[in-house]
Amino acid sequence: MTQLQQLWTASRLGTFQWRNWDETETILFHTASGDTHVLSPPAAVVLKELEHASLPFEEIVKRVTISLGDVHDDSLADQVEQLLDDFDQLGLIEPVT
Amino acid sequence: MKLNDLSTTQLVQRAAGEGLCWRVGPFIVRLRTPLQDIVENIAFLYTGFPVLDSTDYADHEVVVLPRGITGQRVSIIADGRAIYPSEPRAIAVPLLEWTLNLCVFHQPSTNLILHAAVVERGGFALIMPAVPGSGKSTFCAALAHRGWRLLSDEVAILQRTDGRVVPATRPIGLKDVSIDVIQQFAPEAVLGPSWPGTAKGTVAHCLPSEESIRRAGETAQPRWLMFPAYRHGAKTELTPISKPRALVHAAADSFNYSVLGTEGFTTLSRFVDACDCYELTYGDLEDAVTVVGEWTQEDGSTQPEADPEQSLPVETPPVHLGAPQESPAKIAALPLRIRELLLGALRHPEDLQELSPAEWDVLLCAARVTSLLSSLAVRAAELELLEKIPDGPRPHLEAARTVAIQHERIALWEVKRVERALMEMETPVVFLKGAAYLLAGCRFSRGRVITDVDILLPRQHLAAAEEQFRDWGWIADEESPLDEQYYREWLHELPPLTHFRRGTSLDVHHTILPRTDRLEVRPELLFDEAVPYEDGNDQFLVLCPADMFLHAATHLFRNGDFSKGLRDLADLRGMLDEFATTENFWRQLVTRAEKLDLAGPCYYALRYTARYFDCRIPDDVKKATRSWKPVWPPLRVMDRLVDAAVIPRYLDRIDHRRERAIGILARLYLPRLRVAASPSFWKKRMPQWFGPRKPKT
Repeated sequence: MTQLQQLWTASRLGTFQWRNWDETETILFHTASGDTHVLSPPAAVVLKELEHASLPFEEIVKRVTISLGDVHDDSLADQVEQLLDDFDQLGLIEPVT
Repeated sequence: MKLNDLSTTQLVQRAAGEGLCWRVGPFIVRLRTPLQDIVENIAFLYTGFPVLDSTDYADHEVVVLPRGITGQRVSIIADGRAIYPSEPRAIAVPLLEWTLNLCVFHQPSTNLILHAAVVERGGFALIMPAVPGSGKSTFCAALAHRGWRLLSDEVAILQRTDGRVVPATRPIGLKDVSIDVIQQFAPEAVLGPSWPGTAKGTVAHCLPSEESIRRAGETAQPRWLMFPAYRHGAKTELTPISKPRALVHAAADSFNYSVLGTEGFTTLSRFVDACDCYELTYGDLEDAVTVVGEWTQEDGSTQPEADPEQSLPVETPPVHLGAPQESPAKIAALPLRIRELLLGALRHPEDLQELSPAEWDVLLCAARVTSLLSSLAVRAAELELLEKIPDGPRPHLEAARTVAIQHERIALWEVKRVERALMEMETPVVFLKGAAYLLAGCRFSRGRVITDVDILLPRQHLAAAEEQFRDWGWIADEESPLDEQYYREWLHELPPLTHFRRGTSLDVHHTILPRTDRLEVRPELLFDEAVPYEDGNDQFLVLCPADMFLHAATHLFRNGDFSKGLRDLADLRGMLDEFATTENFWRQLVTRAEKLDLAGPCYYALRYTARYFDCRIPDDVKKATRSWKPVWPPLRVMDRLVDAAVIPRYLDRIDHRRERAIGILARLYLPRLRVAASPSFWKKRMPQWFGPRKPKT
C-alpha cells in the first residue's frame, strides 16, 4: 500500500468531545489522552470526517475542499498532509492496518 | 468560637496537645506544635477564623517541631510527610503557610482547581488565573479592599456538580514590593509581620476582612474570567479574548485538569461558557482597580438568586460517637495503631466501614505516606462502602479513586503511543510493572497509581528503538555525562525518557537487573515465556504470571526501593491471590525462579507476603523453597529492615528509623567483583572522591 492509499481513521481509543463558540476556532477534547486542542476549520473537518469513516488521503482532501465551500486551493493538499502527520503524532488518528 | 476568643495559654495548650483545629474553606486543618511563637503568629494571621473544638478527624494535619540543639531550626511535617525537614525557625510561619497550600490545594480532588485569585461581588465571582509573578495576589488584595469579598488569592475551586466557586479564604501572601504597594494603596489593610530571607524574598500576609471570613461558607457564581499581567509602566488595558483561547489558558493554569479527564473538560467548558473572558495588562494598580470595577459594575447588574443549597457548613460540630474515642494525639503516638490500621485495611477492606473518624484520621495519613490511598479507595468503591464512610474522609477517598482511574487512562494512552512508535519495528516489546498489570487485566492492581511506563526490549534493538522514540517525541532526561555513562555501562535500562508534550515518563529496559548485580538474568528467557495481551498481536507482550511475580519480587528486593514497600508487597500478595487460581502457577513459579536465578528474591517475596498478609503458601512450595532460605543472621537483619521500612512508626514526626532502613535496603547488595574494579562505577557512587577539586581561595 502506498502512502496515498493508506487509510486513516480517528483514534479507536476514547472519543472526541467538541465545543464550538464561534466559527473560527473549535475546541476538541480527546477522552483517551485527556488532551485539549484548538482547531482551525480545516483541521476540524478532517477529524470529523475520520471520526465516521476510514479514508485515504485524496478522499480526505476532497471532503475538506467541499466542506470549505469548494474553493480551489493548491496548498490545501499540503495542509491536509501536514495535518495528518500532526494528528498521527498527537494520537488523534491512526493508520488502518 | 473564633481563634481570637482563645487566650494565648489556651492556644498554646491546644497546639501542644491534641491540636489547634480550624476550617480553611471546605477543609479542617489541625496544627500541632510546642513552639509558642509559631502558635501566636498563626493565631494572629487567622484571627476571626472559626476555631473547632478538638475534633477526632481533620482533613490535614501540620506538625512543626524544633530541630537541632539550639532550637533555631524546625521540621514541618504535613500529613505524615516531611515537607521541610530542616529550615530556619525565623521563616517557619511563611513555610507553614506554603505547607498549607500544598495540603489543601495540591491534594487529589474531584473538583477542578485553578491556580487563580478569586473575589466576589453581588454573588458573582471574578476569577483571575495567572502564573506566579504576574501580580495576581497584589491585584486580589487591592480588590479585597475596594468592596470585593475575598474567596482566595491562590485557588479557584470549581465544584464539579454545579460549577460554583467554593471559597478557601486565607491570608493573602504578599512578596517584596507588593507589601509596600498594598500598604500605600489601602492604609487600612491589616498586615502580619514581614518575614525576610525566604526563597521568595520578604513575605508578609494581608488578613482577610471579617466579612470574607464570616461568609466563607457561601459559594459564588462564576461571571468574569480575567488573566492579569503586571508590566512596569504599562497602560491599563482590558482586552477580550476568545472562549477557546480562554479555555486553553485556564486549563494550563489548573492543578488537576488533565487528571480529571472528561469531568475536567466538562467543568471547565461550562465555566468558560458562564464567564466573560478578558486579559488585563496594568502598570498602575489604582487605575486597574477602577477599570475592572467599572467593567464588572456594568456587567454584574443582575443579582443571581441566592440558593440556600449553595452554602457550605462554616463550622462542623464535633462528631459524637457512642464509644469513647482516643484523642488523635494519643493515636498518632502509637506505632502499633498505624500498623494495625494499615494492615487491617489491606487484609479486610470490608471492615473499612467500621472505622471511626479518629481511626480514619490516622489511616488516611498512613495510606498517603505508603502510596496505598487510591488502592484502598478503589477497593472500598468495589465493595460499595464509600457511602458508608464518614463525611470527613469520604471526599478524600472519592478524589483518590478518581485520580487512580485517570492514571489508568493516562497509562493506557502511553501504552498506545509506545505501540504506535514501535509498530514498524520487528521486535518483541514486553510491558512491565503497573502498565503490564493493567494490560493483563489484573484485579489486584486496580487503584494503583502508575507514574511511568516500563518496557523491556532485546538489547540489540535498543538503538533503533531509541531513535524511534526520539521521532515520536520522547527525549532523554538531561543527565550529566557521568550519569549517562553509568546508565549505559552498568544499568539495566536507558536513561529515562520524557515526552516533550505530555511530560510522561518512559523507562526502556533491556533486562530486569542492573549489570552491577551479582544475580544475572538472561532476558531471552523472559521473552520466551511472555504472552500477548491482545489476541492476534504477537509483538506487544506482558510477562507470564510466574515471571510477573518474580520481576515484582526482584524489583523490590534487589533494586531495593522500599519507599513504597508496603504497596509493592500488597501487589505481590494480589498476584499470589489472583494467579494461584490458575493451574500449575505454583509449580511454574518454583521452576522459573530457579531457571532465572531469582530464587532469593522469590523467597523473600513469599516470606513477607505470608507475614504481612497471611497469604497461604502451599506446603509443597514451602518444601521446595526451603533450600532458598538464607542463613539466619542475614535473614534476621532483613526481617528487621523490611519491618522498619514498610510500615511507618510515626506520622507526626520524621521517622528516622524508617528512613535509615529504606537507605540501607537500597544499598544492601555489594556489586560483583568486576564491577567493583571499574572506575566508572566508583565515580558514580562516590562522586566526592572524583569530582572537580574546589578552587583554592
